[in-house]
Amino acid sequence: MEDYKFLFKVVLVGNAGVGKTCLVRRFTQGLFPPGQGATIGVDFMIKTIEIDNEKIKLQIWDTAGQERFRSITQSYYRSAHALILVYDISCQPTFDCLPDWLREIEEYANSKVLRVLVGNKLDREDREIPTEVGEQFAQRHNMYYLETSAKEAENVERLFIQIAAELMEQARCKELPRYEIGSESIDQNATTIKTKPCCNN
Amino acid sequence: MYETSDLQEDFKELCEKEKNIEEQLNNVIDEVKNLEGNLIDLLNINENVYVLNNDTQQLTSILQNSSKLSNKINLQIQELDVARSRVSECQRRVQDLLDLQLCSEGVQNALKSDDYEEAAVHIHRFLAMDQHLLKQTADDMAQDCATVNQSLKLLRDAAAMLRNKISLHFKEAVSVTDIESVKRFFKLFPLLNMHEYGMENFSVFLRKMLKTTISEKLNLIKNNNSAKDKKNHIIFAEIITCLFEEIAQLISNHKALIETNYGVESLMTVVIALQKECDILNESILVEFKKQRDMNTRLHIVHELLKSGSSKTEYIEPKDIDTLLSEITIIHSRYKLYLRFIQSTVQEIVKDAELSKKSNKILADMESLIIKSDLSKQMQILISDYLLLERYYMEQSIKKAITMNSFEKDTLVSSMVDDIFFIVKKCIRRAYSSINIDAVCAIINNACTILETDVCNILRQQLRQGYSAGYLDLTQAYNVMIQGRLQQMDSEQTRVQFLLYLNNSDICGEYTKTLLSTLTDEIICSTKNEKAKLESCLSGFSSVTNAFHSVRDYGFQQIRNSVIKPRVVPWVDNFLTISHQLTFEEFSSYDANEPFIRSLIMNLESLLNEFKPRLTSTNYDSFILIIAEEVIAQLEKNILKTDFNRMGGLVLDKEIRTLTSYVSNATSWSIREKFSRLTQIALILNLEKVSEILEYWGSETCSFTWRLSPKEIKQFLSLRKDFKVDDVKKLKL
Ligand SMILES: Nc1nc2c(ncn2[C@@H]2O[C@H](COP(=O)(O)OP(=O)(O)OP(=O)(O)O)[C@@H](O)[C@H]2O)c(=O)[nH]1
Ligand SMILES: [Mg+2]
Repeated sequence: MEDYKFLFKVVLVGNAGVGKTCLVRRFTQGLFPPGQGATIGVDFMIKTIEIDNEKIKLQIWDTAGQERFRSITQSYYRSAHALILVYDISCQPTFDCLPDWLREIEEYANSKVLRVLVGNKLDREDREIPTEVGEQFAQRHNMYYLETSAKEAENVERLFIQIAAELMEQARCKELPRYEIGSESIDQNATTIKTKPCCNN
Repeated sequence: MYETSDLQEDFKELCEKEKNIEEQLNNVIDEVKNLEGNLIDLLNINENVYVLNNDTQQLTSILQNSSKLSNKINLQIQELDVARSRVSECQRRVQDLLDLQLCSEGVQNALKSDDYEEAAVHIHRFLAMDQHLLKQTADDMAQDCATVNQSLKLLRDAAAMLRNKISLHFKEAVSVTDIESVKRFFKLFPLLNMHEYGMENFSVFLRKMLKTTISEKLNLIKNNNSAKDKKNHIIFAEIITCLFEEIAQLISNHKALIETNYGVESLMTVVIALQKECDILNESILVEFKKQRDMNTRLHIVHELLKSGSSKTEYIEPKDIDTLLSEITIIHSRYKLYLRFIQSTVQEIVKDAELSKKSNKILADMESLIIKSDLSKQMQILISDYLLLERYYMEQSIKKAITMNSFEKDTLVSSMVDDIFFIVKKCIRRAYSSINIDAVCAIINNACTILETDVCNILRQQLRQGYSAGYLDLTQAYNVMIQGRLQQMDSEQTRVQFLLYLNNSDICGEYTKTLLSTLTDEIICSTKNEKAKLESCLSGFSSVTNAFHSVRDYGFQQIRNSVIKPRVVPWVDNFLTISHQLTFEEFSSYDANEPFIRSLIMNLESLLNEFKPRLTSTNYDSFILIIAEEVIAQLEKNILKTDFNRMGGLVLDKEIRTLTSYVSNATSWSIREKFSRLTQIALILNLEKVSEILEYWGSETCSFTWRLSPKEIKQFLSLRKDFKVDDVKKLKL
């Protein structure tokens, strides 16, 4: 078995061109890719991080924003532990589409999935969506909110680390289903060790 | 010309001079050697210093002179080289002038006899000449400028005329699709410096050929409206295949022709042009496809059905879209193969074009050519539609399999299990046949969703009904009778149903595991990234397996409560009716009969026999395990309620051994571990004296791990009424 304690699936969604791929590349490879094309279908990347001395493996699914890939990308919602919904703060239409995305999430994702709203391209001068507006939207829909810049590497690390930390906390409390690659689980009758409840207040 | 011979003579002279000087130089060097010898003598003798000094000066000046001389020679040689290259330049110009004459005559003759090849060769020769220089040469040589000018004019006119004529003939050949003539004139354009024109028009020609072939076929489909015919169920896959094959053939057939006459990079022009035509033709084929296959209506209905489970419009039978789904996957697979062909063609061009700067441009061209092409967009939309329909097909077929669930008398599982997994496998394999890993992954994800939610829910629902025990003791039977719930037939059916679904859950888990390993072997990815993607999606089946297991566990919980507990507890409670404080005589007679354990085993045996033929082997093993757990728990409780003496402990020890070996033999799983507490309890109750426990507790030689706490050990020790309470209390553990 690989050396990690937790495995989480994080799925990025949002309109085409809002910078999902750039965010993922910035986080996993530490670079801002020059002129890469629109994503086809979905891309898949892995990064292992460490929080509180625990190894956490993040499986990051970078979905294509273009409409014609929807029936591919939708199939990834259900097994996601966290969904990052991205819009572009300098592009009103990407913000206006958020309700559509939420409907989609409602339909396909697990109701308990961790949802994060991200306003990307923080570095741009021509902002169209004020921070408060994004924040309010997130609040209204029970989401975390963060503004990022994949270009200037702002808040990108923080975004993923916070998600991982939150998921880890949840996993410790609720015993999220963990995907153990390679474990055959022949011993169905092995008693599961219940972790102490730590967040029932 | 006299210039040359002069120079050559000069050169000869100089060479001779040089030889002379070299000889002199050698002499001088020899002399120097002699002088050196003398010098040593002189030094030694320490006289004639003055003479020596003189000689040295002399020597120096000789050396300086010879160096000057050789420099001079060098310069002269350089001049000579320049002169020589001028001479050959001169010779070429003169040759050109002569050729000019030949060309202009040749062209005229060739044109007269319509020999365009010959004419083009002459023009090509002419175009390779520097016309400006030609005139100058003529001037320089004070030759008859008029002749040259006339030839030039003649040739220019001939070139223009030839260009015109060949273009015209080419167009004519194109318009009547005379392929041989098209090729003939196509070859001549580069000779007339008309590369671009040639490539452009040849590309147009190839596009036209492609269009003609495909449009003809498409019109047939359009006019006959024959697509609905059963034997034409993949007619659109066929025409798309034809489109791609035609392009591949056009490229392969003309590759050599283009490469030899226009250079390998020119192939790119053809590839790009054909791609443009392909985009257009593909679109018109797909438009017709959508029309004749009712794609839009079907998509609309399916969309609604998937969303709300019902549609105002109508219902679509999954089997009615079966062939459509296959047709789409064939279409998409052909597209993928075509992409591979184009990619390898372009890669070959890049490899042959060598220059890295150019290859970057070619690769960028390909990027926009393939990835951003309309063809790719159309195919992405098509596969997206396919995925929607396939999801519907899978969901509906599985629903059908569940509704039509049936079972034979002697089977352990019902028909839906095989059916469901057959459907899942079929859909995934079909998706795989599209050669699109994203599509395969999406269908795998969908399959996991359906299995983990829909199918699991159905199984759980059935198990929730419970297993009406049917093994009623008198009081239970009485209660039931009073409540009027005793419906023998019904409850038998519920029991059969329950066990069937318990088995279904087990086999579903097994099948999921098998499916995972089959697909892992079957699906081949072309890149590392695709493989990682696929593996991650396939791991969804592991959680599906877990889901089935937890459904099964849920079922066993019911069995435990409604069958095992109510029956096992009274059997084990018989333990209490037997004294475990025995005299030796009582022990002997008890030992001979073993009334408790024998009747317990008999009862267990009949219970097991009843269930064995109705459970899968895994479920049967789980069944035994649960029985064992219940027996163990109840027995331990009863032991705590019993007083023992040494003989009683001995009896208990034997009883537990018998029980352990009986249960262990009944199952293929290792179950002894479960009995370790009981075994240890028996050991404690079977001790000769209290202190003996120390041979086991905290002793290095003890061969087992204690499952009892010190407190428990004392508790069990105190059941031995022949042990002193104080001894037990004082025991330090
Ligand atoms: N200024 C600025 N530009 C960004 C930032 N992030 C991405 N971009 C630019 O936005 C464009 C689109 O970025 P992508 O990451 O490809 O967008 P995407 O969301 O992955 O798009 P799809 O794959 O089509 O869904 C690119 O030109 C990026 O250079 C950012 O933080 N700041
Ligand atoms: Mg992208």
